[in-house]
Amino acid sequence: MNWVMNSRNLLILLLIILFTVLQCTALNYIRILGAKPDLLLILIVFSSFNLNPLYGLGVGALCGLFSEATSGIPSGLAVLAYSAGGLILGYIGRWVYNPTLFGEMCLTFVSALGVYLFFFFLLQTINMTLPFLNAFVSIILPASFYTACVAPALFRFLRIILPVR
Amino acid sequence: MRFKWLTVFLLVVCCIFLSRYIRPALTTPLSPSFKLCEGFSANARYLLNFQDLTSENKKLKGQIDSLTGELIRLEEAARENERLRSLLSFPQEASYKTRAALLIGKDSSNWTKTVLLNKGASSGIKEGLVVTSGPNLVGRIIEAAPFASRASLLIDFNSKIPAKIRHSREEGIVFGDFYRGKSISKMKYLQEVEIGDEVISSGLGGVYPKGLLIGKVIRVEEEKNRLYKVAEIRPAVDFSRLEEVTVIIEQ
Repeated sequence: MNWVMNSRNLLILLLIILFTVLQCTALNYIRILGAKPDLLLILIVFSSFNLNPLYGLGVGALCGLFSEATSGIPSGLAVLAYSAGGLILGYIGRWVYNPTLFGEMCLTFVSALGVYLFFFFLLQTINMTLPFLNAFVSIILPASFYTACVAPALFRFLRIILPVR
Repeated sequence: MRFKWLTVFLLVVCCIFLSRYIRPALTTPLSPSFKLCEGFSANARYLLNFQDLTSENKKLKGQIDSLTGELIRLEEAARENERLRSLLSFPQEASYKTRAALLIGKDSSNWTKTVLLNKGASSGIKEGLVVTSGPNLVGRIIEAAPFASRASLLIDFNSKIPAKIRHSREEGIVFGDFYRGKSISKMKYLQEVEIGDEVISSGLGGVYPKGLLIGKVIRVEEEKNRLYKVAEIRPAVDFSRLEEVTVIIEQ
């Protein structure tokens, strides 16, 4: 049991590194409407839904940390948004998770929308004002949609390599 | 189970409060993988756009010929300028000590616009230094790890640059914004600007040197009941094709 958990933790860490590198490099060439899919968010959603809220919280914090380390996001904001997202999704995921293609897409879309809106709210609290409509139309909506489109395929891949319940 | 929750909770709190210090430590070990992956992606992109590259190459070769003549003329003008300046005892133009750097990664987030450079604190790069590409302004260093650094681009929504219109000397502030899914630059000003006007850094505030080209005005937003006016700027640098930059390490 311990071995399974340790290998799972290590695998998640490696996946976070891999997804971070991909987001900084290759995914920049396949942007649609200026947005690229958020692979880290998909990993958080997957861990929260398939493992438990504790995993959601931990994976969210690590993903936030790596996201901040490879972007210009002010320190602490992505960690806060992703870990809060992971925790909440971990609790509600048990009741709403539906492992069908459409179900996964819808859940990821709503999750991404929620996390990005929370992140936008956090930006406002530190006085980084950005017009809501511009941010919603240019980032929140396209990024959530693109992430949701990629999610089912990535969920299949993650289900193969990660031991889940 | 309670112990696990406590551990994870502490991890999250540490990540939130110590993120500022952990970030540079993560940048350096990640940079080799960025170099590798960016190399693969860029090569794949070149292969896919081979036709475009061939025609672009032809066009650029033609431009080289015309620019060589222009360069000779400008060199003559510069020498003449130098002579006249010394005759009038006028102060010499500022010269910069620069360091070249390669782009090895872009931003992992959809929100901010930054790039990762392959030179860091060990090459004399510090937080706050200005990044250029030829005579054009690119942005500013926001984080310097020992062997890599991160620069915020001028289209980032967090960037604010004191600027002026080259010919009319109208002053304003250039800032990043989002418009129809793109990151763009805009300029706040008070009087009048025209489409096609060139925008340069004004040097006010002492962060950005004076005279670096920011871009051209491509759209003027007409809105009443606003204290200031806003114009959209097309940056002089094509950020999607940017590969090398120079960092001004001493002004």
